[in-house]
Amino acid sequence: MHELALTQNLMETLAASARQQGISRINLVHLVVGRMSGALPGALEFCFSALKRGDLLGGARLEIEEREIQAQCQACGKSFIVEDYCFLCPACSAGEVKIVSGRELYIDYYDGE
Amino acid sequence: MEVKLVSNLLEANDLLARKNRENFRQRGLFVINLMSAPGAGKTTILEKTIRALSGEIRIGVVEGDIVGTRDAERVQRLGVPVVQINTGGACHLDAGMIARALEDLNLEGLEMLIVENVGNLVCPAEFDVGEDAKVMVLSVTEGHDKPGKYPLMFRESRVLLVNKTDLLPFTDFDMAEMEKDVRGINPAMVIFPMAAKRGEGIEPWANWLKDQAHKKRNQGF
Repeated sequence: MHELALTQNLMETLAASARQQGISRINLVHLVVGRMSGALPGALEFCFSALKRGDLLGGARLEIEEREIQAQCQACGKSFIVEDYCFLCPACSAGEVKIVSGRELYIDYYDGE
Repeated sequence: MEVKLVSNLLEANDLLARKNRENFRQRGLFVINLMSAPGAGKTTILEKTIRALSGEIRIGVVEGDIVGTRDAERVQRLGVPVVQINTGGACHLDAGMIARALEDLNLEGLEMLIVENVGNLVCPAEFDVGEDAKVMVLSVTEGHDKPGKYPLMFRESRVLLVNKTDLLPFTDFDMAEMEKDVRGINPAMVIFPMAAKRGEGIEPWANWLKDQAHKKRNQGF
C-alpha cells in the first residue's frame, strides 16, 4: 500500500551508494522481496518506472526476486514452504514454527558505471 | 560495475524501532501497538482498559490518526497523559513518528504505553515501532473471514481482541470458523472476546496486560 514511499527509499539509498562509488548511471537494480514483506512486486515496478528519471536512474531496470515464506518446524525439524499463510507443520501439525525466510525487502545489488 | 548492497528498504524504520525498544527496556515500560480496521472499537477498548487498570498501572497513550484530535480528547478525559500524532495521510505509524511523539510525553513513572495505530488492517503490521506486543482488534461485524484475507496482521499480532460480541445475534459471524483460521496462521495467538461498549470481557484482557507489564518491569531492572 505504501510502495511509493518504499520506492523513494530505494532510490535515495541507490543515489547515496552511487555517489560513494563514483557511479553516474545505474543499469540494473536487483531487489529481493519476500512474500511476507507486505510489499507487492507489481506495485514496486510501477512506482519505480513512474519515479525513475535523470542521468542516474532514468535508464535503470528493476529486477525483483521473490522469496517464498519458508519455515522450519520447531517440534519435528521439517522445513517447508508456507502456502496460503498456513503456518502449521505439514508433517506433524505443530504450530511452533520458525520463519526462515519470506520477510526480505532489500536491495541485493545494482549494476552501474 | 556491480555493487553488492544488501540494504533493507525498511532499515531506517528498523533502526529507530530498535532505539525506541531500548528506551522502553531501560524504563521497564511495557508497550503495546493496538491495531485494527477503522471502527472496530480500538478507542472504546482503550477507554475501558484504562478505567479497568486505573489505580493499578500508570498508563500513557500515543494516539495515531490521519487527522484530528478526537481520540486524544476522549482519552485525555480519563486523566491519562496522551499525545496525538497526525500522520497527515500516511496509512500507518512508523518508529520515527513514535520517537518524535515521545518528546511530548513524559514517560517518567509510566508502566505501560499504549500506541493506538491508524485504523487499517494492512500497513501497520509491516512497521515495527519498538513495541513489546502487537495487539489487534477484530469486530464481529467485519466478518469471520478476515484472518484469511488479512493474514499478515493476524500473523504479526500476539493478541486478538474479538470485539462487539453483543452484536453476534445480528450477524452470521462464526466464532469457531474464525478461530480455526487464526490457529493456522498464528497458533500461539491469545484471543479475548469482548463487548467493550458494555464493558464485558475487559477484565481477562486487562489482567493479561497487568501481568505482562509486571513481567517487563521486573526484567527491566
